[in-house]
Amino acid sequence: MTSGSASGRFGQGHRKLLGRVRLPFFKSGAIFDSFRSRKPQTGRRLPVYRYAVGIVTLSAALPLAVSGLFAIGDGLRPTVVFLVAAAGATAGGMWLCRERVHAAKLSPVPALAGLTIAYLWLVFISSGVYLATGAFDRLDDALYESAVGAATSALTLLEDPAVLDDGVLVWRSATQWLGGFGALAASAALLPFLGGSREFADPRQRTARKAALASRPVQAFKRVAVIYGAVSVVVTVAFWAVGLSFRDGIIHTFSTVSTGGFSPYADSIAHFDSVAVEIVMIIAMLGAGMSLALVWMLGRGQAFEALRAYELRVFAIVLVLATGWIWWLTADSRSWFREAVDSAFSVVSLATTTGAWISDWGSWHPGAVTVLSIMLVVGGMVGSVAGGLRWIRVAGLMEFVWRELQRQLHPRSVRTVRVGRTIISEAAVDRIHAQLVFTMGAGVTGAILLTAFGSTVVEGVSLASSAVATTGPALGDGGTTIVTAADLSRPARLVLIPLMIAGRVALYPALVLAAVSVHFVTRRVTPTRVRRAMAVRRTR
Amino acid sequence: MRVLGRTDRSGVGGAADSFGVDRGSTKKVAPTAHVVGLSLLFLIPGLAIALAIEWASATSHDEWALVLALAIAAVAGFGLWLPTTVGAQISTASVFSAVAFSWLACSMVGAVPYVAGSMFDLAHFDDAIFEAVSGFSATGSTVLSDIEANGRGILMWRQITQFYGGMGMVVLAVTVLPVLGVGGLALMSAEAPGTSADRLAPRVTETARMLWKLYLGVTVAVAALLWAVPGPGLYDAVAHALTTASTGGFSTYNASVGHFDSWLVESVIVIGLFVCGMNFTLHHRALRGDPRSYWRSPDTRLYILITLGAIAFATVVNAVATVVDTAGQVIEVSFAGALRDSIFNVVTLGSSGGFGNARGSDSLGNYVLWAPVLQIMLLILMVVGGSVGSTAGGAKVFRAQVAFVHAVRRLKRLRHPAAVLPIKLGSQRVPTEIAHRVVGFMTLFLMITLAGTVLVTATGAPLLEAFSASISAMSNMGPALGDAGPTSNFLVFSRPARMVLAILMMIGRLELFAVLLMFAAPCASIRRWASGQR
Repeated sequence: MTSGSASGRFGQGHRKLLGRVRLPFFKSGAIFDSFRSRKPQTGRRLPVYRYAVGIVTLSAALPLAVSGLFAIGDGLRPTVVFLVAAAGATAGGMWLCRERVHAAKLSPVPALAGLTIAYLWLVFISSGVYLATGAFDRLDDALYESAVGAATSALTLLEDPAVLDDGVLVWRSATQWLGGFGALAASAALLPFLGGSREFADPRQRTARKAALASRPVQAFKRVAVIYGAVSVVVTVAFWAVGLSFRDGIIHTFSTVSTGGFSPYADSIAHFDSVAVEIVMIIAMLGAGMSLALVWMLGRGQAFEALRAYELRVFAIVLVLATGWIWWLTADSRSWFREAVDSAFSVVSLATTTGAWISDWGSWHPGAVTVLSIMLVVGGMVGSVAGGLRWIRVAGLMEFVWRELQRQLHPRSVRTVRVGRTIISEAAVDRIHAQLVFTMGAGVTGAILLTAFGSTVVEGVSLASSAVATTGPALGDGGTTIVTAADLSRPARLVLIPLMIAGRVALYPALVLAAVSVHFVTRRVTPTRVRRAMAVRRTR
Repeated sequence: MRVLGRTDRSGVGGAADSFGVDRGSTKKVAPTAHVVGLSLLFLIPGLAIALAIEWASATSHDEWALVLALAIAAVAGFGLWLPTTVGAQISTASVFSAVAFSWLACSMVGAVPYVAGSMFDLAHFDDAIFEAVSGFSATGSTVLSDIEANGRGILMWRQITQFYGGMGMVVLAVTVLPVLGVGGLALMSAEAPGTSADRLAPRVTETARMLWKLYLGVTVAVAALLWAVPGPGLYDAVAHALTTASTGGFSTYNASVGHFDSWLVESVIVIGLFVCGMNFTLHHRALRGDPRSYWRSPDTRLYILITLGAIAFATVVNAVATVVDTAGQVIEVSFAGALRDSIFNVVTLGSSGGFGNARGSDSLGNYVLWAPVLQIMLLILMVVGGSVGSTAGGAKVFRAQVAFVHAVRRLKRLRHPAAVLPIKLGSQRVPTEIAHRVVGFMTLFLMITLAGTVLVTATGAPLLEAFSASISAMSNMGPALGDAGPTSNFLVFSRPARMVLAILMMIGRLELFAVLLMFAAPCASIRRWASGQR
């Protein structure tokens, strides 16, 4: 199929869709169609990055307005800042998205780099809001807290977030909500259409082609928005039902459905001291850590089909085993129910990379701490808001290792790698391996830098792993959980910012942006004569 | 570097008939038993040397323990070797079984002098096994709180176990058993560190002999140099040469190399460890007049660069950073002192030697006192290890290189989706099968290390000690971080944890696959037997 015909076919579909959606920044939905095309970029440079920035700006408008409403009681300055920012974001976003992007001319590299730029732009907007409202005085502090929010991490800078105004607190959680939405949109409506891990895009594996979240990017994007919005409303209502205030309900919903983990209280969810709140949190975190396709299927009443998903079964088994293991190791004089909820909360919070906490799990039995640390790194399911390496990839790696072991015994045999009942391609196996290498590389680099800036070995490794997985809390020195970055040095916090953002976009896009930037700078710095000579040498 | 090794592994039993009897011979075809028996017989010279030293020593009387071990090795060795044969061709499953069971049997027999002598009482037989496994796997972790309290003969046996483990008993077996030439390369590949065994000569037996000659040559050279420098006597020189060439790390002193407090001794050991952390095939080529082969080998090049870079970084950080001892007192560090201790510890950990050179528990030679960033660097060095084809442990530089290049290729594919991108190290192309095997190895290495950490922490060990000890065991390094550092021992771990670590040492030394597949041949035999019964 030629790229031209593909573009035409999808173009028609989008015109139908856009007849109902009317989103200005999806003029033709072409930005998504383009990912099917591998045609090299020709002619005028496409405004992909501007488009990405415009989408983020527009998306931030509504949360800014909501924050402005909450800020009314905080005084004139924050209210004006939020409302002006909301108006500016609407106007600016529409202006930035004014030009359509032609589908047939876009390639994966600018799309992935654009994704990272979108997150960086969200950090920039949020930092501006923090500085303008007076929530933070220093640029690096504002940048850090914004990066934590956008990356849906939970390692806040604030020892007591309650000192902030209501509007700022809502915006702080809203950055996580936006970050989570971006991650979902990327994983469900962008990466699979870039030729990414399509094998894992739908957890039901064999039936993926029949009933994936959507077969077209715009349709997938719409469904992401609908599911995310609907889940947010349900969780908010559930929080109100168990006794949270309107403000707390909104804030915790934003930070839970996005697996962010922010709380307006210094002692996080332990502040409520309520089993009901914890159970609602557990369920909400589980929903956020599940593949969106599964949530979509559950919403459509296809529960039986959803439960057959291999990845869901793997994830469920891991959660149950981890909870049981930790429950057994940490049993004390409390009631068994309280211990079970405590264990389950910590496991689910870290396995979904949320990072909310009700107890100091860093001081638990070393065996429990190790398992929680592994859960924290591996994360949730593919196609979910959760970060980390993902358990289905671990299952894929295990199957790959098993294949290699079999090959040792039967070197001439031809064997495939199966995940569940699905045979996955060698290219997918390579991608999983690359993801593992990049995750470990980022973690090790981060750990080296963090220890260079004053962290201990355990603290450095744990902080770096947690940042890459976008979880947040980490192990501190002496067996305590680090839940705020207040005690970290400023350089250490600056190290965490790129780690968190890179982890949020699943590393590949960040690496692509880094490569593009280096290429851009090199081209600017290197004289044309030298570049030509190098090109000739390469050809030879 | 020519990559050989897998081609002759696919063979199936040739000359043996369906009853498992070699045609033309009345011996039973049992390759695993045959190789195990032969490996045990090779322990006899080592035990005899240790026995002679013990007899000559006036300070201890553990002769009968060594005699008992010698008798067991002889009886079991001959009992398994004489009535069996390997057949015309060894199946792949038998290769793994033979190698893994050889090491297991040697470790068991090697532990006899410890438990029958005065080193451990019978109730602590598990500690004796740990010490023996640590020896034969050339790891260097110890559970002895006072090494010097033991007899010279027993301690020499401890050193000799590492010497055996450095090159491997099965490679030794291949040198003298021409009949193993059929599957000899497969056996060597399964045991020798690295991705494959390179042929130095057309015949595998000759290759194995050359490797052992080189190994002996390096050992003798290190022993001669150590004897020549002030400090160690002949006994100490030989004892430390045995564990230097094998990159084992056992010492006859509690303070390890720090006991001598001599930069000359440290220099000889550093050079010995560095040389033995490089591919022995390249040493052979260099001796044949091709010294440039070192630089032509991409992984050796990287090994040298990593070592030099790590030394430079450690020296600068140690010289600049404030180092505090265990009592909280600041240690005065000169640049020369920082350079000396950095060189020693970087090389000993990079080559998985594991010697300590702490001159007192609060000197810079104790790397546990180093800045955290350097401890992370040392952990990375432990994991990466030395070159393929060396006596060093770890995942090996070559594998780390291939895994990295393999991952970067995915990034390149984003820009050029249809491009054919071979995995290349320098100008050398790595076949896809080798790359997959390497990636599988690295993944398995990581998974087993994490599983080991979970099990060790489940016994109550702190995370830092458990994680670093698991890495150390898998990489056959020796000491770990935290309380399990170079001035301490593995008694900080509980007995179950030590058993877990001993298993990790064995898995790491046999490059994972051999241990994991060691039961494949017995299981196949049982299946065949069961189907025959039906």
